[in-house]
Amino acid sequence: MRPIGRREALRALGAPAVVPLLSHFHPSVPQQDGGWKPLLLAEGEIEAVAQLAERIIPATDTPGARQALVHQYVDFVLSKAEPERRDRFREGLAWLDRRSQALFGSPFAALEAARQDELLGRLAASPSSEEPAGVTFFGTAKQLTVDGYYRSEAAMTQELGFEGRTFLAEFKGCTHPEHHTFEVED
Amino acid sequence: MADVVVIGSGASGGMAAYNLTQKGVKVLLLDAGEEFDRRYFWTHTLPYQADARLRKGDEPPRFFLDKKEQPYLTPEGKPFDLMRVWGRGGKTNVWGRVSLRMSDLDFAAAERDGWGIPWPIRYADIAPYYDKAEQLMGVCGGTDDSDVLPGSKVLMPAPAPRCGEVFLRKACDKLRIPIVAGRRANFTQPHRGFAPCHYCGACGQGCDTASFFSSADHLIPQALETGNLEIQANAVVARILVDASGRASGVQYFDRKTGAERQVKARVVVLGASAMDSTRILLNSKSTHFPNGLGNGSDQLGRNFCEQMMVHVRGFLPQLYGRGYTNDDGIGGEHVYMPRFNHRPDRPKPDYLRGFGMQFWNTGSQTTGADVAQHLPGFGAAFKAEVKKRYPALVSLHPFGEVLPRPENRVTVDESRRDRYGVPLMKIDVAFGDNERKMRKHMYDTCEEILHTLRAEIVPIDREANDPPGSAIHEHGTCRMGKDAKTSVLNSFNQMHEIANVFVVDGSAFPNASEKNPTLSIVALSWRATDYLAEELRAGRL
Repeated sequence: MRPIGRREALRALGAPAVVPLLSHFHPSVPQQDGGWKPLLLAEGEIEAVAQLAERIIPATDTPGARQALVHQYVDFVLSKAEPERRDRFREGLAWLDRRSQALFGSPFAALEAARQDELLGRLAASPSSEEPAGVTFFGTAKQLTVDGYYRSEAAMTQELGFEGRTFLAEFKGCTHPEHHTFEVED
Repeated sequence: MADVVVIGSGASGGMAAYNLTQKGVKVLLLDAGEEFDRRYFWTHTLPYQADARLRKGDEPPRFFLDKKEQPYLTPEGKPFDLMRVWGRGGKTNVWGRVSLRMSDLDFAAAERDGWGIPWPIRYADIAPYYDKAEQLMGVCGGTDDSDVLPGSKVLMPAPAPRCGEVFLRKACDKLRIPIVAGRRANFTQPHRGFAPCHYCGACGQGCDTASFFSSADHLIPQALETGNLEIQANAVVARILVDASGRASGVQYFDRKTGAERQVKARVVVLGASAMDSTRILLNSKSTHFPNGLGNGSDQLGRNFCEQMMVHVRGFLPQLYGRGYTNDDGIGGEHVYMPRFNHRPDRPKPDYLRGFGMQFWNTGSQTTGADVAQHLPGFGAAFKAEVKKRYPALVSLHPFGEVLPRPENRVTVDESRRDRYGVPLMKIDVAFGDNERKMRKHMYDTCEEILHTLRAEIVPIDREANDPPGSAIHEHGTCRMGKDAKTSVLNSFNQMHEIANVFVVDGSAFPNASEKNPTLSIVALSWRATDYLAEELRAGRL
């Protein structure tokens, strides 16, 4: 018996509708008529989240968090979260603006990227000299950004190069001679 | 009237129906659900497509039973995660497929260390059935043979190891820790008219080409072809009925769709409803002959629950940093396995009983990219590069340790709490003990030793952590077999000591769990038990 082909298997599956590539919605976020609108956060908050996420995972030779629509993901997750968690996050955004104002004279979203990075560097330092509320908020924002980014199509296909979940006639395993001849040190 | 009513269509019930119908016995199979429709399996759905498909109402089969539909009770502070699949093929639709022979280290464990009761059989009794079961199930594996994991001459070729597994093997060799080819019921060659595995790695979604063993594809259709099998779908069994002489006379069930009560007569009843549900049915089968539940004169029914405890350790191999994506899907789990080694004479005597083996699923480039980044410090382009560098370098270590059977770890039924059919709910009261906690330390130590040997970056570990009871989905012991009717419920052929025409062929029959995944042993034991049953029927003794 020959191995089943991908096309053949898709037919066997009853050819499910193919999900459009790189849509205007993050893949975890419900489609809305007339384009995406925030479910919870205010426009200003969305912009701050998008900039913050982009500083955490910036565009390089592959898309960053903004192109991966991580702000949509963050808004969606928070819209379904417990009220205390929502409030904590929004208070964290307000803290970020106050701190930006105090240090550099503008809210976070109005700062140049280098200033934004400087503030995030203070928050990410270990130990951090910033207030615990700010450090905790940065941890939450980073976690949400990482979750939203690496589950997006842009990250999986372009950044990580994922090509799995497919049909292979053969699984070759490790084909690197240097791995097979590697010697464990004492 | 059918000669035999079989309850459950998974590994054990499916095998009972398969073997009995091949021998010309008329079987009625009571299945708590329906057939799962392969056209709707999500085998090839990418992670970023899943949410959108769900929102379109494009749902995959709901394999796992909703706990709200059929609840169970647990005491405050003692969680138990019971995973059930009520439908054709049961859990074999989505199982892990690891297929390991148990050995006399397991069957005679209680004789050596005095804990629990020994099995009434030895490896020699079950070995011919392991041969047959492995051939039927299409198990692949290597040529290894040891006192822990007896060898086999009938396995399909093992798949090639992934890069990370090549390194794990080298570390284990260095540490004189055994590591062998994994044994899994994935077809690495065409098998009985089915296509071989196409290495998509998504077996947990159900296989769209039926290229791993499941009862729904590889036992039930063949049983139907004999013309000797009738299936009653959506039959949620409540009780085994007993006549005035104390023999089983039939089965009471409820229609899952309508709630209507039904009864069927039976000459012989075979329970293969999975350990917890078979036990629940037997405990609820109270009568004047059996006031504590069917065949429970020993008060052992429901007691002695055992399983495995799991912990998880992950690391990144510097040797694989920055190599870029490799398709590591393979047969959807590790291609290597670490058999138990703590009993070896060249090892220090452990301060606990029994042992653990180790699996390595999710090694290499996997779908869970985000997990890789969770513990890394910093942010920005450097952070992004660090995540990408580690993505193909992930190795995951998953020790499975034997949980000792204890009489107080038990299943009961609560007369005051009823399910939607008015049948008493089951209560599961299970906790791990000191032996498991001591073994857990050795499990973590071994993982660290392996990773240190490779100079790996270890993802921070909480050494007090383990998965909660039930997580292995390998429940055993609550209807154990044994030589002595005072300390066990079943004899060596899975037949009740106290009631000759009732057999229990699922994992509940195991007196101890061992560290191994049980399904191969369940299939082999069900095959052996139903060979005996058919002969007893033929001889007119049932």
